[in-house]
Amino acid sequence: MSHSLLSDRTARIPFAVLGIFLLLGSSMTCAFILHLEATQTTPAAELLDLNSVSRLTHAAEADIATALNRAGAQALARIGREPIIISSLGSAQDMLTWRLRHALTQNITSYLLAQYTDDQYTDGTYTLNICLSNDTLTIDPDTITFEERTLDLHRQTLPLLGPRPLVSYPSYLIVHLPLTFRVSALSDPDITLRREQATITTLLTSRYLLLEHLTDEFQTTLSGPASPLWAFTTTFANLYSTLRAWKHYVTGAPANIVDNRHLALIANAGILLEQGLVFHSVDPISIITLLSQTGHALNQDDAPLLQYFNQERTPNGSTYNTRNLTQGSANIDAGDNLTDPIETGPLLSFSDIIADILYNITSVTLEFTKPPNLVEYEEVAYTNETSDQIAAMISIRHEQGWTLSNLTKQYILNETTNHAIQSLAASVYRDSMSMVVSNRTVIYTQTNTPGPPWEEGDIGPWHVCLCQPGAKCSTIPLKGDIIPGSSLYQEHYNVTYERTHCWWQDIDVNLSGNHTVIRIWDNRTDTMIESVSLDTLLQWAASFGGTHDDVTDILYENDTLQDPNLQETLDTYRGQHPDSQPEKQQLITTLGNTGATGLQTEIPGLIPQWVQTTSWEAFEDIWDNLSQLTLNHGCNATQYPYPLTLLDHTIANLSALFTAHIQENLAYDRYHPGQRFCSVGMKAVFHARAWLLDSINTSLINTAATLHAALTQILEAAIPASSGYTADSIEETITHTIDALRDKFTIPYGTPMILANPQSPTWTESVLLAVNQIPHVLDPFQPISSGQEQLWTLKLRNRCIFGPTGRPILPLTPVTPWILTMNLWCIDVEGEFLRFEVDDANNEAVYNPLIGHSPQPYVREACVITNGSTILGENTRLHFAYSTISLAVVPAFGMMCGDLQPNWANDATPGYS
Amino acid sequence: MPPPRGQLAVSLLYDTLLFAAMVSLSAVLLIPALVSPLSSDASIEKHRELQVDDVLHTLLVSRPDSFSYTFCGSLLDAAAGRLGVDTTSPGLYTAVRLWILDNEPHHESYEALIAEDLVSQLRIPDGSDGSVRLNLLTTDFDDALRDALHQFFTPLFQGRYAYNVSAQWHPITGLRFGGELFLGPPPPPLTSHVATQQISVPLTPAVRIGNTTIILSQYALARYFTALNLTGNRSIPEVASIRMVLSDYQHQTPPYDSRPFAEAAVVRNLSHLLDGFLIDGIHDTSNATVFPGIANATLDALLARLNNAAQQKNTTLYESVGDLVRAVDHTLSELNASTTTPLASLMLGHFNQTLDSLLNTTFPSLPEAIAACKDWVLNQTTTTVHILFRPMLEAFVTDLFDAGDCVLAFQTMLGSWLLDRLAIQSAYVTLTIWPVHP
Repeated sequence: MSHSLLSDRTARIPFAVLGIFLLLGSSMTCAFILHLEATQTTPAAELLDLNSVSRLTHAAEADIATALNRAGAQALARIGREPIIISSLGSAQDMLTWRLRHALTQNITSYLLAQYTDDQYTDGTYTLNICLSNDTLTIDPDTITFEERTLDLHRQTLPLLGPRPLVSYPSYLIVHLPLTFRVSALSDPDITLRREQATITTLLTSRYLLLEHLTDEFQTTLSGPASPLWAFTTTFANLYSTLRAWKHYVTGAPANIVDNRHLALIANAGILLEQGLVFHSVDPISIITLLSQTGHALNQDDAPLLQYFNQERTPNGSTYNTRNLTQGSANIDAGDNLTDPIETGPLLSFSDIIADILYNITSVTLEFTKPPNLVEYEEVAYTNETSDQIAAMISIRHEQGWTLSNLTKQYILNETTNHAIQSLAASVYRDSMSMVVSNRTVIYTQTNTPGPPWEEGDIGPWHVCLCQPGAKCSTIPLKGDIIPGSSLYQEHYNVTYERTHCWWQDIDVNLSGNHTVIRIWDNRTDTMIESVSLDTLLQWAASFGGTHDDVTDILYENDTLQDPNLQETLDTYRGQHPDSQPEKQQLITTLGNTGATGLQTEIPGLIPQWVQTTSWEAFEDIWDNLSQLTLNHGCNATQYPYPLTLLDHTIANLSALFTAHIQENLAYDRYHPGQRFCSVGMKAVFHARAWLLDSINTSLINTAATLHAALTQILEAAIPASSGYTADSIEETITHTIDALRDKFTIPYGTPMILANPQSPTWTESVLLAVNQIPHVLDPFQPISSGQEQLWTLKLRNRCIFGPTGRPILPLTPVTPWILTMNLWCIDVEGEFLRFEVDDANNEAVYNPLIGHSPQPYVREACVITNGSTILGENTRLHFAYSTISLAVVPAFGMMCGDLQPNWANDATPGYS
Repeated sequence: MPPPRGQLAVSLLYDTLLFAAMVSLSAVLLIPALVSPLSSDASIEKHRELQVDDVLHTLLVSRPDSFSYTFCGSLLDAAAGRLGVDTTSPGLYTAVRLWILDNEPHHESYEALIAEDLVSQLRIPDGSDGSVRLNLLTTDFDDALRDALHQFFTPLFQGRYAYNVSAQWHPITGLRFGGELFLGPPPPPLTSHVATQQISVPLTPAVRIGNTTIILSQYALARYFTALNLTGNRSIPEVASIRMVLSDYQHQTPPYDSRPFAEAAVVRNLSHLLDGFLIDGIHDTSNATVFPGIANATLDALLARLNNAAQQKNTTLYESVGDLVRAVDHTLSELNASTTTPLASLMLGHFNQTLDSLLNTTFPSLPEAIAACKDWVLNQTTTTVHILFRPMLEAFVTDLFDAGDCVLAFQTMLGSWLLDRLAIQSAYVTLTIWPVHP
């Protein structure tokens, strides 16, 4: 059987035929799709990336911004080497803008011509050119604008001695440069595809502004009253003068308490500390030179600077030992060991205060020594002029080569105090007695009566006609029973009274026949005898200060203590009131006055001699006790170099000590062991103690107030009104800064500061600066050469206001010594740096092909800045000037307190004019 | 009525089975069209091209968070050690070291850092297709920059792409003189994607010719050559000769009426002119320099700081080596009065030693070493230029002779041809990425 695929008489198209078409269709479709994909994909892949124009523009903007920054950094580096401080053509800020603008214009114009012309800037497809006018590129400098970017600078600092810990400073400049781009295809560069005006904005990465502001801040820190350097010098100088003055007070050396050699070191140390606090960096050579020169001033062997350079430092900087200049210099100048302690003792002591109460000075003996072994004495009678005499004597002797080596005082007993003791004892040795009519009885009455018919008429008053004393006897109670009101003595009297007693009767009398009634009188005398008892009573005894009757066995002599205890006062009383005394007679003879008292009399007792001596012994006991009390460890001149502060703390400390030891010094139980005082004398001694303590307290308060007022007055008088500071500001400065400087301080360097953008928490960077100053240490004794100029970089002057002996504080009288000796030095400081340079050591923004990057510098030195023949302005040196005072207060006498060299009134370094 | 019984047609069963097989076959035929990778590959390729452009652009405008490199630390230690400074003690030296050793250009973009690194290398040809880094004081700059770039790319590509960065600054195109920076493995030839961007370098060499100072840029040189009338200036012997040869050839005047002879003469003169332009200067008949030579001027610009520093006068010395070096020198010289510029002197001595080792000669002073180095570089450059530019020169001359008016062609083409050899202020950064297949 033959088969035919197509010949189907049923007219059915076989599926296989459809399948063949399906195969053909699929093949064609597949071929078409593959062809289509192949032909379409290539053009799609080659489609122009129109974003590339934008990308090219952005790349150009970034590139120009980079060039702008680089040009800006180079320009700022040049400007930083010669900043204009005093401008000839406008403000210094205007000149900065002008110079930067012109430098940028010049630099960026060259750059744009080199890079963005002649189709040089291209991505291979497009080219970008800067639009030129007449084939030249002109950038109007005025179109370049700047804005400052202010950042917060965080620093470690010290109150009053350094800058504020957080200061906002303009740190960076942002520059805007408007340009016009023209983009064209590289294949047809004459046709402009896009013309675009763009403003290139970039941050100039140089921190010129920060350096400029920090340097200005450093300048401010150094100069003027109440500046940080002033605060440093004031505190350090006061610590220095105080300790050296104490050394001088004790030993007579150093002769020159405030020495310019040391002031120079203090000023340089202050400059470096301020430098460290402002920049967190200092010139390292300055530190080691300062350490070396300090050692030299202390007679230490000269060590090479290298040795100091290699010394270990603290993590934050180098430590400067304050004590080297304060205590150490005093010891060295006195010929002692560097580290010997200086006894700064209390400014005031109970010993002195009590001594002033107990004794008076009659004269002062000054001991002078002269090498090799000569000793002479001068005695000065103590008068109002003693201080001047001593000053003149010391000065004259000093000029002759004599040195005051000792000063002694001659004392006598203070008679005022002696009288006070006597007066007090006399007050205690006293009692009071009175008499009372204790009984009155009629023992006899006689009335003469005529009998009837007599009628009783008028009766006259009784009147004494006879007073006959009777028995008298002591009624003093037994020991211990005597109390106020006790009857000590009883007297009896018989008093006879008489009176007229009239009688009458009427009788009829015939007179001449007239009967007349007449009255007749018979006046008779009545008699009455009364027995009267009169007692002597004790009113009070040994009264003092509101206390009385608190003595054991009063009115009985204490044999043990040999204290009469007012025993004799009864007899004295009786002796003072004899029977004949009218007042007593009146008491006796006044009818009906039973219970009446009178004759109240205070009777001084006999004061035994031992009361006076024992009172003095008690005083000396108190003196010893209080003198042995020591002030708080820190209450001395080292702790409080400012005299007023020291005085206040001393007084407060003494008062506290005094209050704490009052009971102990009263020794109440010693005199009053039980219910009563042992004797009147003992009470007197006790109250003498109380009096002395009260006197000490009063003296303390009065002394404090008077001293404070006197010191303040002297200080205010010494500080010129135009100085810019006051006694209060000095006190505040020293109080707040002394803790940081007392023993040592750290000059920070090499530590980074934090610079942060308050608006952008992520923008935080560090600032590490390097400082280079010339000279490394300002020297007041050696000028440095600068061209034709001889420059004294440091000029110092100190004037000892109160001369070699200082000024006694508190009125000097022939009987009262002065309490303190004070002196005051006016210190004037001027200085300048030949060259001062700060480099931004951790933001090397200035490109240098040789070393990669170099830092932004900022230099202050004297030079004139020109642009061609035009003077733009001048750079100036950093300079400073300030005045302050230094004080010293020591106790009275000793070796006094003052500079002894001839030029004490004006001790200036050679460059000071 | 029963269905008719077909006797000729295939059975329905066979027909259906055959149809089904054909449908399947059709589907198979369509598969290539449906799963073709052409479009996706093209899309991916395009994406990667754009991506590499974007990444490069992003890199160049980005700023590293913190960037620092160490200035030649061993040198400072050596300078200080010579003076007796205990360089291991935590004393003042630590601070001084910190000041100078860590160079930290804050806020600078990668573009600026790359450009500055390239210029600071002072790389010169070593005579064997390589180059030598003359400035060894900043070698850590290269390493730190590589690290910074690595830190930029690593989180960006997350291991999915490998990358290669090359930055090159060659003031004279094709000559390995200038600076180079490479990072990453060499890219595969076919599967990588490349982006290149031109960046500017911080160098603006300028030459002084007579009373005129010209910045060595295409713009300034083009105008200078126009003003000089370079191609018409018969006072320049080479130009005069070329013009004469071309004119003779154009007018079929012997001996240059034959093209090969004329071409050889033009190539010879043009080679001299190119040498003068690129290397040792163009001189007129009175032997006056009308142009000092690009390599000469660029070398002078690069070595100017060294030259200035070598004068050992404080002003020029510290202008060249920077303010911090001065500060450190002041510090160190105070410690030992025997030398006033210990660090700067040591730096210069270091360069001297480098040049000594490079040239296998000992020089008594740095200025002499610099002069010898310059001569050596110029010699190397001359050799390289001759080898490198000879084919281009011949091609240019052929083009000249192919032009109708070859004198006119010479006048119009020479300037741009010469300037095309230069890229003094432009460096090129190339980023190549390729996918990494696990």
